[in-house]
Parts: sequence; C-alpha cells; structure tokens
Amino acid sequence: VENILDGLAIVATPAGIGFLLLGLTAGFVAGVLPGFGSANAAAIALPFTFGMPLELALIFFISVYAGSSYAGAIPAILMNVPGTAGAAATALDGFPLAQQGRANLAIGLARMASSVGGVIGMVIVLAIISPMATIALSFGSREMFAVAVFGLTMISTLLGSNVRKSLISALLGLLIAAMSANTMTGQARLTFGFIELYDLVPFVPALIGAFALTQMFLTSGRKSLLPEDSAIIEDYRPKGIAGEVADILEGIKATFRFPRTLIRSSLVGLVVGAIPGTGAVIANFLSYGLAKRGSKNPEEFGKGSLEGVIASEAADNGVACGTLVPTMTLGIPGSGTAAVMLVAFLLHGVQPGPSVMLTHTAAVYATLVALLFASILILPLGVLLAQPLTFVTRLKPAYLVPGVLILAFVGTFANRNSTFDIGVAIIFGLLGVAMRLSGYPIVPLIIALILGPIAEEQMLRSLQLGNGQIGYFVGSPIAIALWVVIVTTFGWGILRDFRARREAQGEPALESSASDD
Amino acid sequence: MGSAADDRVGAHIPASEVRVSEPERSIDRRMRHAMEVLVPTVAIAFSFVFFVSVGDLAAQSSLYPRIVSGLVIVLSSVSLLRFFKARQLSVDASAEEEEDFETLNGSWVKAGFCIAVTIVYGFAISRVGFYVSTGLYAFTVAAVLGRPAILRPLVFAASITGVSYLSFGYLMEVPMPSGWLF
Repeated sequence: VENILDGLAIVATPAGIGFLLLGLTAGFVAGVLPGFGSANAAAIALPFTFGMPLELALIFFISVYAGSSYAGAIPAILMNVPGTAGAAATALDGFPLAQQGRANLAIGLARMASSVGGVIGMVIVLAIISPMATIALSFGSREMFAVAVFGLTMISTLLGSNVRKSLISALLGLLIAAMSANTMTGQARLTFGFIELYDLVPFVPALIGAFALTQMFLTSGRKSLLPEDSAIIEDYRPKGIAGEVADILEGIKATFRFPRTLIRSSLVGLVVGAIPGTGAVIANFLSYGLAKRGSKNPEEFGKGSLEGVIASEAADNGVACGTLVPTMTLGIPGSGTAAVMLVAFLLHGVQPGPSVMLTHTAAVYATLVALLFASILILPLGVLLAQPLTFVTRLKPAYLVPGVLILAFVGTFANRNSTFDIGVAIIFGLLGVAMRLSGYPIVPLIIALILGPIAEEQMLRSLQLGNGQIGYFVGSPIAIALWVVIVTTFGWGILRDFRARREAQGEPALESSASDD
Repeated sequence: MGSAADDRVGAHIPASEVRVSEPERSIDRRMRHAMEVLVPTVAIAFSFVFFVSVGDLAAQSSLYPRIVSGLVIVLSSVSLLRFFKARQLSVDASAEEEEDFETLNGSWVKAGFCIAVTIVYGFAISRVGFYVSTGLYAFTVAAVLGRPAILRPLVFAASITGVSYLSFGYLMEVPMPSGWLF
C-alpha cells in the first residue's frame, strides 16, 4: 500500500496528470491511424523525454499505450481496419455492428470494456505483481514452446471455418519467420542476401502490409466506405456530446450484461500479456475464441456480437497491464511500447531488470497507478475526442485509400528508417489480398510471425535440455495441461470441419444444378 | 446474401447492398478460383525452395524449417487436390466455404490499378524522394478512384504533401527518404 501511495503521489501532480492526458491523446491519435500504433508514437516521442524525470516519461509512455489500445478499436469498428494489432478481433464484430447502423454503440462498448479491462487488470497487477513474475519465471523452454503452439492452435481452429486453410496460413507465417539467421547457430536461412532479414522479417511492416495495405487495396474499388443504405449512413454521423453520453450509458449497460466475458477477457489479457513475447494479438483472439465458445449465442460471433467486442477490447487493455509485469520485474519487453519504456530506463541510467523493483519502486508504481488512471480517463477523454476521431469515416475511399497508404508508408519507414521495410509491407499487402480473396485467413500468418522465433528457439532448447527425447516436452504439469488443451482444441476443430463439410455436401450439387437450369 | 463472409475482418459491404452485375460476379468467381490455385501453388513452391535450401545447414538450423515446410507442402497439396477434384465433379469447390471469401464486387480494374500505382510509389519514394512522389501518388490515386475531376485531387495531393512535410518533416523531424528531387 505504501508503494501504491508513493506512485499515486507522483501521478497526482499537475505534471503527472498533464503527461497522462498528453500521452492518452497521443495514444488516441496513434491508435486511430492504421498501422501507426503506440510503439511508433512512443518511439517518436522518446527523444523529447530525455530531459524529464524517469517517472514522468514512464507515465507518458504508458498513457500512450493505454490510449492507443482503446483507440485502435475505432477504425476497426468504423472501417474494418484495426488501428492496432490488438484491435484485430474487435473488427470481427465491431464492423458488422457498424454495418447494422450501431457504430456508436460498438464504440461505447469498446470504450467501456477497455476501461473496465484496464481497471480490473491494473488492480490485480498492483496486488500480485510479484507472484505473477514468479509464474512467468517458472515457464521453461518446454512450457514456452507449448504456449506458442497453443496460441497457434487456438487461432487456427477458432478463426475461419476451414482448419486446413487456417493451418496453412499459420504454417506459412512460421516459415516466413524462419527466414533469418538461426539464433543458436547463426546460419542464415533463405534470406536472399538481405542483411535486413538476419534479424527476422520486420514485424511492423509485415503487420502494416497484411492489415492496412491489404484492406486499402480491397477498399480501393469501392465508391464509399459505407453501405448504400441511407439509414446506416445517417447513423454513422457523430452524435455530439449528448449522444456520446447516451452511448456511454448504453455501452455501460450492455457491457455489464456480460460480466463473465468481461472478467474472463480482462484476466486473459492480463495473463497472456504477462508472458513475454505473446502480447495483444494472442490475448485478443484467445479471449475472443473463449468468449465465443462460452457464449449462449456463438452464432452471433462474426456478425455483430456485443460479447465479441467486449471480449476483444477488455483483453486488449488487460494486456497493457500484464505487459508491465515482465517489463518491470524481468526487464523483458512484452511489446514494442514496453521496449521503448525500457530504453527510457537506460536513457536515465537505470539498468532494467529485477532490481528495478527495489531501486526504483516509486517509478514502477507510478507507472502502474498511471495506467489505472489512464484506464478510467479513457471514458471522459474518449467522449471529448469522439467527433474528431470519427471524422475519418466520412472520407471517400478515393481520398482515404491514398491517405492511409501514405501514412502506412510513413509509419513503416519511420520504424527503422528503412526503405527495405516499405518493400516488406508491399509484399505482405499483396499476400494479404491473394489470401483473403481465396479464403485463407491472414491473422494466423501474422500471429505465427510473432510466435515462430519463440517456438523454434524453445523447441531447439527443449530438445537440447531433453537430450533429444520427445518426452521432455511433456515433462511438467503445466506443459501437460497445455498439450492436452492443444490436442483437444485441434481435434475439436477437425471434427467441426468434418461435420460442416458433411452437412454442406448436398448443397453445392444443388447449387450447381440450379445454376445450370 | 448477408452471410458471415461479409462480416469478417476485411469484409466488404454485404453483396445484397452492392449492385453487382452478373458479368462482374462471373469475373469475381473466376478470379477467386485463380487465387485458390495460386495461393497453395506459391506456398508449395516457397516451402520446397526453403526445404531444399536448408539441406546443407546444421541440423539445429534446418530441423524446424524442414518440419514446417513439409507440413505446408502436404496441406497445400491437399488444398489443390480438393479444388481440382471438385472441378472435375463440376461442383463449386469453394461453395461449402463460401462465407470465407471476399470479393471485389467486379472492381478489379480499379483495385489492380491502385495496387500497381502503390508498388511504383513504394519504389519511387527512395529514388525520386518522399514528398514529390507522395504528391504525384496522391493525385493519381484520388483522380482515378474518385469522380473524374482535376481540381479536387490536385488540392488533396497538395494538402497531403504539405501536411506530411509539416507534421513528419518539420514538427516530428522524422527523416523521410530523399531522392533525385526533394
């Protein structure tokens, strides 16, 4: 409690609140710009934090993270373009809700779920940060390998209606991720002589290409972003403060109609975020998948389910909380923004690691308290900035497409000042178009890109530790539990596919004969 | 239709709300079939090259990519076989998975143009320079995708180039690529 009060004393100063609001606003803008994200915003802001105290810099960065986690939902809902990777699952139901003329409700839900997810996550982190770090520390190679496979299995079986196509997508992602120098031997594999590929395929341009570029390419042929239904267009108009307040109230009511989903998703985000290398994308889809499986109306998922939006957004902001556990206790960044925060530590002469919890307790707890405050302030600030943020939906594709693509290229280039990354983004954009037009989901590929290096490293390490014995992979209770879930989920997915094919077997023939007539 | 397909990530406006002619639907179907062959074929070729290229490396470096590329080859081959088998039976191979497909509602020419110009833009920004190529790119895409007009795209291109310069080049001091011109 003493530590929390110390943190509170730092945040509750004019400077602390000022940087918190500034960070939230920057995060909103970064989150709403597809492909830009909090890591880019935080990285650009990093040079400006040299002269300020470490605590204020951390408050600023964590507020950018929280703001962007929420705001990423806005373009996901309104344009089907996730502003951040963590909002990808939000688009699955948020966009259909917008198509049904309920965009403001979806944004209200996202706002409330983000806020509650952040608050639940942060309260728990404040209470159990040390035990959480102990749990993460106890994960060895075999457990981390099982976690990576578990994430891929969940995504492959829960996303899309065809497990085979999802698996191909995921495996392609693993293969693309392997186009690098092997971490243990240093031997390059299929890098085509590009030195840039030695450190893995750059994730930021891959993400921007697969999501933003693909979406803009597919949007480019359309006359309008909105359906040709005037009622829907009418509903897309910003409602003003009074309307926004009404939406908040409706969002609050609707959010708390699903308390189990809300709590479960916040916890999923928290736990997954606390495992280094996993992050918002996995938490997002894992939470979405669990919500779908546990829902009384699973058939509504993908068509505008309120639970779907809640699950995704609560988990997304829960991740922001969970990420702080390995960042602060182990010195391992759980995300790009967390990496920027660790760089801020170094710039202030502090070596990140377990000792930070002892030597800079006030700074650590100020960051945690700031995230709690930021989660609460999302509600009022989200209302104030709703109109400017929703303005983007009224743009015509003829102007939006080049605008977003130029921004995407700027974000891609700014990440590492590399024109090579622009080429990577284009390749992933083309790949995304081809895959989506032929029914292959792109999300498993992107998740596999993140998990691939972890999976390979942990697999090889486990083989070394187990002297090549396969039994080593199931040599601990956690690993056994994870593998049981993996096999069960995979089996269920194949069975579901098989049943769906059998049910549909008669229909294609009928359809074919009907068209012949 | 209003199926689940329209509601997925990247989905477009439901087909029922978009006026698409029969020839346009036919083009969509043919292109979709082409993509259904293209994607697994490219996956097989890529995996095969990967599988072979790691042959000379140490076991630690080659084990994992060999396992993964082997799986991709097997699964992609199954996809291709299923597609051609269904074609032999005169059945729409993808009908059972109809909800997973996206279409361009016949607007392949505009989308293709946008993709082609974007690729050119991607290469041009490091050679011609970011600001000049951005202005030209914004004008070209806005003029072709929007209503046939000159003034609006011109104003848009000038604005977006100016805003890019002010925000990224001047205020944020993000070093943008420079080339022959600016």
